[in-house]
Amino acid sequence: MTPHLDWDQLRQTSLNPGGFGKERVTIWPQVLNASTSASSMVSEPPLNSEAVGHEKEESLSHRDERQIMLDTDRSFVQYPSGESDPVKEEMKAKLNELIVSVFRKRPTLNYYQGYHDIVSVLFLTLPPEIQLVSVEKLSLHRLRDSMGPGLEPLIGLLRLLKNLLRLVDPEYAQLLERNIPTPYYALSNLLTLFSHDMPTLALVQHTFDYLFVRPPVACVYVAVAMILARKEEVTWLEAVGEEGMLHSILSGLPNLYEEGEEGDPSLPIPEAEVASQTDPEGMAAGADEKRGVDPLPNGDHVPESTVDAKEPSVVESADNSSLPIPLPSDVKEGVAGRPLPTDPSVKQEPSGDADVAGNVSTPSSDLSTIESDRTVLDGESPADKSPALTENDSTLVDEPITKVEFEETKPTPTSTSTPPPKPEPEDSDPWPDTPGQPARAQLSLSSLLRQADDLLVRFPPSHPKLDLDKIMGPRSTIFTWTEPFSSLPPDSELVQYVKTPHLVVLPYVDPVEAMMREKEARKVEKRRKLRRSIFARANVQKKAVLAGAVLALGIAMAVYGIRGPGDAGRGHHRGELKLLRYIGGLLLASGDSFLGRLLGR
Amino acid sequence: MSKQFQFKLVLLGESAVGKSSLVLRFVKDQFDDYRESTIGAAFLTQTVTLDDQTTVKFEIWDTAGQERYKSLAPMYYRNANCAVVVYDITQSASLEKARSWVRELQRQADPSIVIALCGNKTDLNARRQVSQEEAKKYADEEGLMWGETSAKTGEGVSDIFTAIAKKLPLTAPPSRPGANRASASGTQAGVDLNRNPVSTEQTDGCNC
Repeated sequence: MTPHLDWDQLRQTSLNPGGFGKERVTIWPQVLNASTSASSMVSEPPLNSEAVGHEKEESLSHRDERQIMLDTDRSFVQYPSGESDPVKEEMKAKLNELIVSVFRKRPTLNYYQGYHDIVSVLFLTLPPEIQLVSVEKLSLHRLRDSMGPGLEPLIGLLRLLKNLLRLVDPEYAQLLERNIPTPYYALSNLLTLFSHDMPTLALVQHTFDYLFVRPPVACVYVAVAMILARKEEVTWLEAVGEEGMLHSILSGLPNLYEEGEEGDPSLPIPEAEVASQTDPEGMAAGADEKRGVDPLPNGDHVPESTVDAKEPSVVESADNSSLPIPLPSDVKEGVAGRPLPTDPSVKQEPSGDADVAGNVSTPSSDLSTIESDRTVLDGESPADKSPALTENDSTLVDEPITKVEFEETKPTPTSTSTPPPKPEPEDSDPWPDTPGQPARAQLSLSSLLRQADDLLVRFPPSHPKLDLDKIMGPRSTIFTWTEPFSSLPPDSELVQYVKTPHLVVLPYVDPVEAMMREKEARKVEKRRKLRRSIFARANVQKKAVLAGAVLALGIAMAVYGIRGPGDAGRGHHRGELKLLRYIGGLLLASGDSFLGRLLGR
Repeated sequence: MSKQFQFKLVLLGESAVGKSSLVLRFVKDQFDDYRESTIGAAFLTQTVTLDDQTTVKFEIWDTAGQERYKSLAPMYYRNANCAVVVYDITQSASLEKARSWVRELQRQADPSIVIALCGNKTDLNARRQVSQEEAKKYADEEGLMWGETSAKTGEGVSDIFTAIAKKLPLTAPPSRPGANRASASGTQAGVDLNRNPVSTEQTDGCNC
């Protein structure tokens, strides 16, 4: 029997620095509903599928095993560090075996790149005998939406994220949307539950502590909290016309640390150490961050006087965060990126003047970045956690392409960190930065998670403006996961849910995508026309109109065609109406443009 | 003042052929023996200076190789000025995958897109499955640029990007950051690069 779980208590504990700590070894299997069957799993050999009934015959090998191998072969890059190569190879083999076991046992599930990142965390955390059942339950109850035939359910979550962001900070949401209409930058974070981009195992574990004791939708709230933390950087990038970098900034993570541990800027750091940890490029930024350090221990820093002194920015939101609990009025006004958690330890670097020096000295350093490059943030090495060594500041050097070094760097975090900048003329960005670039936001993981919690309270998944029930379908983990596990649908049913993707995420045509498709269709038509002789001209125009109609019809079919009869959806009707309205609009728009083209001739 | 151009480049190809490693070599001149899988897509920039001091800034979208991420690809190759389609010379199946990417680009991408076919991992020449002749012949037939690289040793990497830079229409009005937001974001909607399609030499394939 599942021991009684005090979810409220667990949720509270998950917010503490370090999360569950060593307790997670026992807590995770419980909250994943893996502990009940654990005893039966202990004696089971890994690849022996005691799969239920009809799945048995399919369980020999899984179609995704090649891809699984490709990904497990390149696992454990960031952590654990310090293991020898043979040890790592053995770990990779075991990780592979673990993942393959899950898919052989649950053959309807599909593997996705990024799943291996999540599993590697469980692999490194839990004792072997409980791994398989934990990963299996995690997959069935929480990751299942992403394990169907396609990415659509995840894109549904991105739309939810977008709606949430609009509620929390409309102005910021607008800024983001005018540059990136759908928040694809959050894809890897949501798909991998942040495990792909977290620099240390400890941080991922703590994040999982938080997520595993909350409904699956909580990951969207964490993602939004992270996006909010980057507001200052994002605003700056747009201002200087480097919108392309938005994706990099936002798909990466803020500079996270655990309170009270190495890397926590609120801990006193000896001057000399800071200097030695600071790489030449990041020097000024490091100094800034030091100035941004909260000298007080957590909890009693109330810098409200600064709130009005600055223009709205993340800095302000950090300050507001010291309010204990959002007041009703706060809920009303507090939308503009200043929700924040009851945690004063959120730290933002001061922006503005202080940063200028740093950026003058590094004109191009962060405009050439690898978004997923976490090498400088290795958790095992305290030096790398130094705020000065942010991804942006230290790794990103526009290397002249004329310079070719044939040295091979080992994949250890330290050896791959950036060579010192070479002051050759080619190095300089042709479009030098505007001074004033903010450093990467840094905040404690606990404060980030508290902020996510705060958002959950203020904008719960049931919030009418989130439209959750118009985005995700009844078979999504968002709706099937329940806290008393006794009301979870049986596993044998859950594994079938991936086969009905239209009930996992409700059919939706992204207006922007549809517009682009229409444009493309017109382009193709144009190209065809070019190839036709002048005699066929009139004909072609007729066809263009026809193509528009066919396209609209195609969209309608795409939307409705995949919906089987007897769909047990809920709240579909308004969505359909919206959709119809939209398709109508599309028809009008395309009709209009075709008319324009006809008249123009 | 030298001329400055900015182009959007997308990397496509099967999983684990070395797309990210190629970019890492190009952008940071580094190589990791183990490089994690790319999830979704990564964005990077790198600037190339040509002989005549013209600078070409590449905005690079490095995509995930797994088939299930394929539906995202149009977002990244849409409005792209150039595409590097990568295969692994030790995996003949990866050339097949490259062909299908080329077909898709020819059908769906901007007709003037410059496509380079890139055979990576020449350091593993002993395990070669795709001959230079075969790949070159295919590239010629399709009007693609072609080259072989080793992200590990660096061989050929800067060559292929420089060659692309030279092949791009450097007579077009330079696009500057901020001047045209569309060029800066792969997901930007409804805006074309302010550049005319210059060629229709790539046929539509099956549209006839």
